[in-house]
Amino acid sequence: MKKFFVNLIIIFFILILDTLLSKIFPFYLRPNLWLVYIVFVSLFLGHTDGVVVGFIVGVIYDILHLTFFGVNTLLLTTIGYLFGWLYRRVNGNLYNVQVLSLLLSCLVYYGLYFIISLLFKFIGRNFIYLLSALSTFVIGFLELQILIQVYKKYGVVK
Amino acid sequence: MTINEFVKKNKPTIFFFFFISISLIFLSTQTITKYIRSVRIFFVYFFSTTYLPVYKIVNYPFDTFNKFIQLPYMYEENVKLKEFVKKLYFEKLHYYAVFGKKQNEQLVNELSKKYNYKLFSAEVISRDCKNWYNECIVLVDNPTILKEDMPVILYVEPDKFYFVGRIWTIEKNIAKVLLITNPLSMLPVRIKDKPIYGVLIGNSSIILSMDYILLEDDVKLGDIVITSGIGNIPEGIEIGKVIDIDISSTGFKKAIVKLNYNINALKNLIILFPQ
Repeated sequence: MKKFFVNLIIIFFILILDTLLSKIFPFYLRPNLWLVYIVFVSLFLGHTDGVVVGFIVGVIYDILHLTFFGVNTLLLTTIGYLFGWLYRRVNGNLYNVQVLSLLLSCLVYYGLYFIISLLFKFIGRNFIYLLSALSTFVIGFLELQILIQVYKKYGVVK
Repeated sequence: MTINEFVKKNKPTIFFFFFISISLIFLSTQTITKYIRSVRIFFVYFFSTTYLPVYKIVNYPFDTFNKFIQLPYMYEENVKLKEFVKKLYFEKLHYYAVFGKKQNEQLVNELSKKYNYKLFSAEVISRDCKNWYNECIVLVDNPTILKEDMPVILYVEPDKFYFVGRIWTIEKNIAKVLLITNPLSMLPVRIKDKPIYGVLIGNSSIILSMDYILLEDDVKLGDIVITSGIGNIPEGIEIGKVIDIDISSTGFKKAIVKLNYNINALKNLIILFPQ
């Protein structure tokens, strides 16, 4: 129950932060905070949690950003599932693990996004949005540290 | 391995495939029929409202910041507007003054034609509070024809004239009026419709005394006091009415007269030119 409420509050705060960042950054540099959150959930909360939260967060992202509906649901669920395999297999508290996870997640997410965009032809030849991988990685690392601290403080993560 | 054990073991994978299939359904709604697309649009529109509170929370600091930036501009605009309002206010005052003056002049001209007298308008511009019942300062448009001792009257609609005083001193286009209530003012008057004469003496109040009335003259309470026509003042201009009768120290009868008009509210006066 405690985990559920903490997740809910964190999702709400990420929602606000995401809106705030979308006002500050142009669309091609906007960091994907949801992706980082899914990586965190998969690494620290569990495999099933990663998949479920990935799906819910993906739906929220799709609704709020009014993009090609279903893309982020698919991608974030996939990320949650893939990174969920690392749960209890690697030590998520290590910085090199976090950095590598973030890099990999960015690679998988934007790679799959690129492939789907080619399949459905919804972004044409404008691939400038791939620049946001950079900001996602930089700001995402900070977000990951904050998330770890918050979850540790509330005793959800040890 | 039982089904329960299989599900327990492969829970994330089952969830994953379930959610992936839902995601694919979502994705396929883009390409299938326009009916499903419309359902999707409705779904998106319905859930977009959940975004509004967040949008408000995020927008609030931005709006506040923008307002803060706009403050100096607003201040400048406010100062300009204040100056403009001030200017307009003075213009309005000026307009009313000019309009009132023109209206008064028009009225005086009409009266002049009607009664066959040469009349000129005069505007009270100052009254000293120490000499409130003694004198007042008037502004005259045509000072060249102005002379001392000219009668100053007050017109009250529809058709009433009251005697106010006489021109005392003249300086350029400004004249001082000796009010009838001034103790220095001694005006020969008579009772309306009766051959009873006397001298009206001011008392620095709205109560005046009509002195030097012969003892045999039949003065009654409520009699109207008018100008007598002696001197350069035309006869018959109303002043007040008798409210009390007494015997004065000089041995004559003395009538206490109360003014019939409000001497406190003098604004537009008329100067009467003797024929």
